[in-house]
Amino acid sequence: MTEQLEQPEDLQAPATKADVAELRTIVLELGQAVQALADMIGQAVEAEERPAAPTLEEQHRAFSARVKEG
Amino acid sequence: MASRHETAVEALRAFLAAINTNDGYSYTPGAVVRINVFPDQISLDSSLQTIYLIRPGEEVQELKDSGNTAVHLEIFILVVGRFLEPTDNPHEAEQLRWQMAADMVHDVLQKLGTDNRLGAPSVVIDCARGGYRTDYERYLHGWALAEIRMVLHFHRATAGR
Repeated sequence: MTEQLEQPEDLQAPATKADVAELRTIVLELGQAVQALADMIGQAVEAEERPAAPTLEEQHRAFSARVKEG
Repeated sequence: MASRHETAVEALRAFLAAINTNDGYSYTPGAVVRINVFPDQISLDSSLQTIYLIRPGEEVQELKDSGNTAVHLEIFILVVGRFLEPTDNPHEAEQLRWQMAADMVHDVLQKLGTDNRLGAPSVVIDCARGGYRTDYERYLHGWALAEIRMVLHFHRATAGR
């Protein structure tokens, strides 16, 4: 069973407040999706560029050794 | 029967756990726990925003003529805060990772400054005599952190615990 397509005259009808609200919701959701994607890309780039850091245990031992050296 | 060592360290843990933003501090720790090794994955509870990890170091005992032993216990406190900014932009005026670490360290030192005996005057002599030393040269993805080194002074009876 095929879906009934909207008639051209329906598409030319003036937009109602409900249409505008629906469109606004879609645009906002699209914006959020783009923001999430940008954050993911930012994190991926940071992870790629970041030099391998020593472990916290190694950093602690280095700090402890510096303290003992005075 | 708890040793005085145990009592003193637990007093420190409970003292830091009482830090609360309602009292003018920047962060309320979600957990203050004692630990033996600092894990790279702060996986104790990923829902926590601020965690303080307490770790013991070297203990030095000094015999006193009075029959007491003065104990100097080195303590390391790792302050860890969830840091979920997508990137660290060095050209931004505000360096949030630095700021978070500095505020957590300040909270701990401010709290310790309110009572050098950590609310346990029968055991703890002083938590500030050895001064504090802080290492900010830390990095862990997803977290802001710094490590504080302090020396906890307490007495124990030479013949007792």
